[in-house]
Amino acid sequence: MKLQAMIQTAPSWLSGADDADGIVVSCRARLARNLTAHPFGAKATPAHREQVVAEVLGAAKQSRQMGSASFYSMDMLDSDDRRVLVERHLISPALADSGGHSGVLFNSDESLSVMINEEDHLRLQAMCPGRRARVAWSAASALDDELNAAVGCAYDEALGYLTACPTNTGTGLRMSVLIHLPGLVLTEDMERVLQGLNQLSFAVRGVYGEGTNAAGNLFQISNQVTLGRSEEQLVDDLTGIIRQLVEYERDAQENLLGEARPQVEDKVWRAFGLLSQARVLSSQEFMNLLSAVRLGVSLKFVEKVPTSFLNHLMIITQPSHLQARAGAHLEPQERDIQRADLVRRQLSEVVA
Amino acid sequence: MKCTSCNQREATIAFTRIAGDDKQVLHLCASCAERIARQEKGTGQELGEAPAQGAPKATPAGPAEGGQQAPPKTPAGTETPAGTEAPAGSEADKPPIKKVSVVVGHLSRSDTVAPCPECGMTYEEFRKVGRFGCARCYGAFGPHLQRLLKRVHGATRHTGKSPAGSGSTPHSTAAPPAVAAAPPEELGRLRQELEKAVAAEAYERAAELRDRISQLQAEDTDRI
Repeated sequence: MKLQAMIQTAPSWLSGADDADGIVVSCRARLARNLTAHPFGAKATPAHREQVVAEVLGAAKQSRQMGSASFYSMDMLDSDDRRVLVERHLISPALADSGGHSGVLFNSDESLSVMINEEDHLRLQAMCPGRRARVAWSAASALDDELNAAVGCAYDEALGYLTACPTNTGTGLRMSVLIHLPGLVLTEDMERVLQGLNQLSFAVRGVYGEGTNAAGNLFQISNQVTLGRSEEQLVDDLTGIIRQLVEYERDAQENLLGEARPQVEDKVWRAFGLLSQARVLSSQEFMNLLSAVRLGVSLKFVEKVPTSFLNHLMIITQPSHLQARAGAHLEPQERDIQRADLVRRQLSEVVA
Repeated sequence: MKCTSCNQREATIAFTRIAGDDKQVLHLCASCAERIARQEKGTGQELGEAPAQGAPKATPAGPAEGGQQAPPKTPAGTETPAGTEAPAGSEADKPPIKKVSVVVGHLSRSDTVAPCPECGMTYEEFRKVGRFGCARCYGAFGPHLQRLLKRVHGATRHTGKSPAGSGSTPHSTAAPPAVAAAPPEELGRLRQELEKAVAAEAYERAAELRDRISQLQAEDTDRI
């Protein structure tokens, strides 16, 4: 277990800043890049991959932003450690499952990370709290400029940045937002919203849980088109979507209050009660209860509980985090007990 | 790849000639395919060989005898029975040519695209895996990518940032340089309008805008 120290601190993108409504958790900018000189994907041999790692690390060390970043090679981490990084949104499940000669570089507050030898040679990621997507884009772009200056990235004037998969060609940019939409789910408007988003070429998926059955009413929304629109336009697109979704969610919440205030309050406080007192909590149940409490914070019923606390709780109650905290492998049942225990203690500290 | 008969035009037809146990596949352009199929029908001679001396022309059998018919250029996979008997009077010791069938099919794009010179990935491999092998694959598979990119992104030209200080492109994509896409501003503006219409639940207006966007994108495809 190499990541003990890391799991004690909260990444900066969970701070709850820029989220006055308690609806937008965070924004992310992800750039896909490849080095000109080496093949990628299936055509890259282990030797190629090692060279890519070496070149990227060399470039990163010289950069202002990643000069003192930590590098974790996938070869050096066991599967539990890899899952911890997935849970912190530092690496994708694909990188965690990759065969090696790959790794991730990230800075101390985890706002900037670079996956090496996932689907592309480089996947830069910048995360920021709240709804200001432009902040994430600026950070990613600045890092991109620094790294590009040191290593040659495959680029074509007509087609833009050349990526392993044509779905990323062009800007190689995916802008995404992590957003909490319990109101729209409760008023059964989510289907319509999803259709509208699909028509505008946005992909929607539950961050936790399968497909649109998003556990905890948390959705990740990202652009699908990366070619033919500039990065600025993509950032504007997402900002526009965020603005609209927050508006819709506020409306839905107001409707709920107008028509069923006692029921909404009941739902919120029952959830709070369970989180405060339960002895066994599955992931699924925890996420749903957390969502109700977050709604309560958003509606200003629940005071004393900042969204940053809820955000951090969301991360540290995940399976591999619980195991890292316990310093041992845990069976699912044991994890559910530990989860309940952790939540109870943390919540009692915050409301005290 | 070039037509194996004239070596000038691009091959787009897989011309399969089956005579008994023998199967011969030629990659031909449309004109040569037509010519050879006509020859095949007219003389029953072996493809690529000079007509046997003194061989009487086998007359096209009439419909009553169920003989050869069908135009030389047929939809993919259609069989053109050319059932001719062996020309009498050819080399006596040559075994009689058995019943001949000709199958004319269109070559799939995979067959006509050369693999990437850098990493060796074939177009077929790419189609299967959905990932390129290296940056040079883009140039190698050039025009075929235009359609794919159009389908995925609704666009084929990059309008965003370039690497700091980059001037020339290290990789040419061999895309037709004269193609002018619909001005991105126009498409961008229409998309914004569509967004507003959807938000305002003005679905009729949204449908109009969507159709206009599709039309502009289709016009781009025609130009490619």
